[in-house]
Amino acid sequence: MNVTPYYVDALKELINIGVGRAAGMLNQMLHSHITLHVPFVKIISSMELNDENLGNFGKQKLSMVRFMFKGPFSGSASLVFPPDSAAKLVDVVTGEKIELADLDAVRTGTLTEVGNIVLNGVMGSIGNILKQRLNYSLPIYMENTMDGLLTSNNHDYSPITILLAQTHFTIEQLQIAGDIILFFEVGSFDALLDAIKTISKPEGDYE
Amino acid sequence: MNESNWAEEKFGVLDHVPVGNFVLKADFTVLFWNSCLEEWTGISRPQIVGTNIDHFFPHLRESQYTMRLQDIFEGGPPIIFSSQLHQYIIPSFLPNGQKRIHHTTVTAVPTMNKSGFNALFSLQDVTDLTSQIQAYRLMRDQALEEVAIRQQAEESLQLLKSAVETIPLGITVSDISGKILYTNSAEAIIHGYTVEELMGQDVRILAPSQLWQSMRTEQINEEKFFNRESINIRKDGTTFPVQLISTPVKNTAEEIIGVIAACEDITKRKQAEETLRQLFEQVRHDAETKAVLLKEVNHRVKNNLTAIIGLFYAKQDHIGLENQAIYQPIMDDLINRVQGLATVHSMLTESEWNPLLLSDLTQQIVDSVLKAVPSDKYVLVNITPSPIRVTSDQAHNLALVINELATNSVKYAFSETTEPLQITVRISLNDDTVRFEFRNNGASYPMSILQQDDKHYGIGFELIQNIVHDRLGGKLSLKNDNGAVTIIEFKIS
Repeated sequence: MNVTPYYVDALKELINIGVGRAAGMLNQMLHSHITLHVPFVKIISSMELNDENLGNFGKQKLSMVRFMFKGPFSGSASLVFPPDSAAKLVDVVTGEKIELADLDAVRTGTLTEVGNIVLNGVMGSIGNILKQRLNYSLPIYMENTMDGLLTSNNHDYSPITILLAQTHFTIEQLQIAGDIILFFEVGSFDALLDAIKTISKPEGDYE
Repeated sequence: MNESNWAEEKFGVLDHVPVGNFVLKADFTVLFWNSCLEEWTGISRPQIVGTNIDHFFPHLRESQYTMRLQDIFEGGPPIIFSSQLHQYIIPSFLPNGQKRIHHTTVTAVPTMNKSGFNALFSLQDVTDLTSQIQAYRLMRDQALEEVAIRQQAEESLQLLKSAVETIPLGITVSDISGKILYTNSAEAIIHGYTVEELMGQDVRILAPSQLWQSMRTEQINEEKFFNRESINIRKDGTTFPVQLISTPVKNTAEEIIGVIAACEDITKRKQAEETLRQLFEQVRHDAETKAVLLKEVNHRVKNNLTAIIGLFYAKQDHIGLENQAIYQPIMDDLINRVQGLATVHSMLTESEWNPLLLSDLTQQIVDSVLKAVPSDKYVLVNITPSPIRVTSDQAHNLALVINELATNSVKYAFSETTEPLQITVRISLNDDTVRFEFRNNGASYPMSILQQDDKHYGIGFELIQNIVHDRLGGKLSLKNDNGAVTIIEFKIS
């Protein structure tokens, strides 16, 4: 997939606005200063997913919060937590010290809410700015390897366009990293880019 | 159709689900309140529908809720309020008084006229699940703690086992019947077995049958720490001396469940002890022989000195009157000198040739000389007690000197005065130099003596001079001070 830097920047800005809102909500809720920022956004095909893109998450068991959306552009929005980030996040928001592999139903509920806040921030940002109405499914929590998580949403293994945005959470002195990955079905991603195009006039075009 | 009826028709089906549901309008007015919530909260639908939610639950107006709900009223994605972070969105109580814990989902549903969105709250009661998980966590934490303790204990045991396996001391653990439960490599090697051969055997296999003794539990208990020397037997039947230390092992109920025995092969120690004993016997025998010989030598020397004195006395009887004036003084001097030697020899024999107190030596030599003084002459002797000791060699030389000084005092004192003779001796130590001062109130030294003119020395002063200078390595000083004063200084040995 070859997208001009303009669209990548536009998407990065949308996502940054979204995580900014999410950080504000988390700060309100937790009474603790949380900053979120997006160092980079990549638009790749699912065939291009490799360790370089995923930050060596390929074989690890990951926690993921995901919901589906449908409308002018459809797909799924997922927030993927590396294991240590998941544990640290729950640790910070609940004040409990937990082991990495100790995410029970109550704690996964907590992680789901954190993911829900971040994803809603991003999707709300995209939906509002692009004036597009979307329908959403309920968020779900799942654990799997990155490969398993990707195929669980793509049963026919057809190539899909992936908007990958790595987001850094910084909570006080604790460095917590999470990855936001937005999945778009082929064709729908074009609709997203079209929507971006309608609100501005880019100097170049995507191919 | 008004909005209330529309909501009743639209959401009425939610009265039949075991989940708390209510619908909020964007202005926080309650549009629908299902039967489940009526039951949980005791607030009926007519009571709450049409009123603002903050009338009953003002906390829902806090920004942490309103900020997120804003997206819902704009048709945004569903919201999760997890049970751990928001336990009581709509506080309600279980029959047992415990608060219900909720996992809440809020979704956007279109308003009646489709122009906006209401918020549909779904509250799932997760009290049981949370309680079970908390109970599970508690149980798991306890289990983990126990596992950690067990692991620590196993590590300690492993360390102990490693230590026991590396020490050169045989260690055997047996049960109350004597069956070997554990034995280390050292124990097996000492007794010529392998560890496998000893495991399960009767512990008495390690001791000769004639030394077998069965101990009752009470005896083992009394012998809290049993340390003894014994004899053990190897697999090949040879015996060897051992040091055994046994300690009973008790369970938590203080019942004896076995015995730990440490066994040390003391063959080499025993051999060393025997060699030492033989050496000691040899040395003791040699010392006894030497003591007998020394006693004999002392006895003979003393006898010889006595014989010499006897010979002098016998010779004295044959001097004859015509020669008496010449030889009598010579004979007296000789007898006195030999007498002085006999006195110091006697003292050294008594002290087993250990260093003598100089003040005692002086006293005895002076007393010996004074025996020859006529009973009508009165002599006062004042010797300052002193802790200074002299070696046997120094004692012999000093005895001759003191003998000469005392003899001279007595010889010349009564020729010049009828006053009682007073002999005063002071002994002091300055660093390592002994200062021996001998003074009398009798005749003073003549000038020729004070000038230490060799030509005018009699044999007595020549003897003193030679002994002090040559044998004691000391210094002789003479002066007159209300009588003759002799000062001898020499290094202490």
